[in-house]
Amino acid sequence: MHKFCGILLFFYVMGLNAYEDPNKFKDVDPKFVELAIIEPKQLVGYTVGDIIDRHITISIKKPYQLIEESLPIVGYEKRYQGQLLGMTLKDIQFNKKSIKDSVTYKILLKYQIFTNNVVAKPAFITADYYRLINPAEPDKIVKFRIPELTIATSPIAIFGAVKVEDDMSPFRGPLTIETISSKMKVKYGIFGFVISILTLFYIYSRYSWFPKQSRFFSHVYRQYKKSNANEKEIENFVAALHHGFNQTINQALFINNKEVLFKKNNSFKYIESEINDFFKLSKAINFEKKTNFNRVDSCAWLIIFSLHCRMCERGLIVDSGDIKKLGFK
Amino acid sequence: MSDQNLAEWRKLALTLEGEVNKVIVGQEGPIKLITTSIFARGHVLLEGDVGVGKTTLLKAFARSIGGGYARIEGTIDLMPNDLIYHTYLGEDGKPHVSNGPILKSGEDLSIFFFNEINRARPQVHSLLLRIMAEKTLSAFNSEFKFPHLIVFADRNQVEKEETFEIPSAARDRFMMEIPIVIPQIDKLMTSLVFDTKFHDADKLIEGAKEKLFKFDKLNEVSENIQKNINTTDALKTYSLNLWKATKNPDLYNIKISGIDVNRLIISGASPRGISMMMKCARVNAWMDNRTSVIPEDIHAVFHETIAHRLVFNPVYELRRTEIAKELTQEIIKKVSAP
Repeated sequence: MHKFCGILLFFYVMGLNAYEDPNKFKDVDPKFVELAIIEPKQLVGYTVGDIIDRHITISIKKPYQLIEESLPIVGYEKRYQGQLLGMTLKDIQFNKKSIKDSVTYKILLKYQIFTNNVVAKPAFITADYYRLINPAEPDKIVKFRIPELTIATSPIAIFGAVKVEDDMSPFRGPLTIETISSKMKVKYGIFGFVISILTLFYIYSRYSWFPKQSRFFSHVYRQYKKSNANEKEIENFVAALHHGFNQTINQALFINNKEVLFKKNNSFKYIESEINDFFKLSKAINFEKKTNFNRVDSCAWLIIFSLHCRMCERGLIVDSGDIKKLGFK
Repeated sequence: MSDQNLAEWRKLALTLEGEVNKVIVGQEGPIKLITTSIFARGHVLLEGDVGVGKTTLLKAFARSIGGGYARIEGTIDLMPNDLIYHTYLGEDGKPHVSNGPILKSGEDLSIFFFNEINRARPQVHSLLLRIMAEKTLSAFNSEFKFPHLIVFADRNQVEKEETFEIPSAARDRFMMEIPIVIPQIDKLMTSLVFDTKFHDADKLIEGAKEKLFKFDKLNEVSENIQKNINTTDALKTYSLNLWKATKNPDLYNIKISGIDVNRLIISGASPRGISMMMKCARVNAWMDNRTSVIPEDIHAVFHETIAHRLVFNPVYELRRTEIAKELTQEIIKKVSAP
């Protein structure tokens, strides 16, 4: 019970502090203060959630100074005659600039509305009193009045729910659907769809490419796809392909450890017969020094083989029939 | 020697391989390697556990090659002179000296089989070293030559009591050290236990044909194989890289788990070792009916011709067999060709 009384007493004291008697301090002589307020253009039709901005500029001449503690406090809810007005100070931005014998304060006050009514109703932001002090006479604090702002709150809808067909005022004009944005949406949609389809085709096509997907054989293919069918060039081409395989499995690839390659990238399994042929060709060129093979055919075959390796590297399934179609066995 | 003759000798080599495979089961790999070594004219050291058939395997080869055959058992009290001569009192009551196993067959000595070589003293190893390298021996104020000699030796790595480590110089004389392991195949293992033909090793090797070819022609055949099987520049570069990798494995990014590769090798393969490897690779190519050596020929003989020549840091010497195996595998994996 005592605890409950204590809480009541606390709120009573707080209420007394929140309400300040305007007659407590004398008004400042107007010659020391210049005031300019930019009020919002809209003064009616406010409803719950709306925000009102007040730009207040005060120039205070010396010897007076603004007691900054007398400015409104964020979160304080406006009252009139002890009644809540449904308006709260949401934010305050404060800027101070000294010029010769005066100080200019630019204050932005943002009030948020927390009330509405079934009919339009006047409401106002009550006057505020900012206190000024003369440092030479600290006991004689004076006040300066910021005038109130009268606005009108409105219901969210007129008399509650509205039936549009009963509210066809000729002065308001018919409600029309904005067709431009819908047409743009359709255009963007079609554009996106086409791009998606093309991307899908690209991904599943044999020439697909993604960043970081190409590793070793892309370079080999790019470097040698226009190579000449001379002995040195073919030797280099074969060496580059060997290097590509070695890099792929991070060890040397020989005919008897192909399984390591297949384990690393199963796509190569589909061109196993081509890999066997490649090793035969490599053996003939590098270790048997056979010179009686057709260089033009071998070079063309190597270009297609390197393309197939590139496709395998990208995880694609290669149709080895390509090579047969081109007349290679 | 013509190409045709080489082709005929190739058939004989394959017959030799086939004959030994008939009596020794589950050792196709070692049998091919020993055949390779015979035609590359190199000495062979077999290494394996007790009772896995090392001696039987070598005896089977000795039977099929023909020529003079001598055998000695390595023991701790064996002295070098025991290989050269032995003395006895004759019927006439006077001391006599007769030739020991090395000299008994004279120049016709084709196979000298040293059983359990690691039981013999270093003095004996030293004598053997000269016979293997130079194929000559000085005794009784004269020099004896053994132009057709191949030494087969075996040792088991399990027993360390009363044994002597074969010095690296002696190991280097062997063309190959071949590990003999019984394959873990149930059917084969059952056969070895229950098939009575495996109970008597001497009777078993009688199943292999005797004296398949003229042993005194083998040197000439070997020379011709080496002349006729080609190696290209790409292969020379590859074998050179392999050699370098045995000396500095870290340069080729070779890693072995739990081993500091930088500290592992004290000495890599010797020039003689690499040259023996290439000789074997040529024979392997010839046996596979090719006229040029390819990297796979080197792979087929790399471990057996190189592993026993590597000198490891003593810290790792006790785990030599497993580390050498892993190292040679890694070298083949990491060194690329071409």
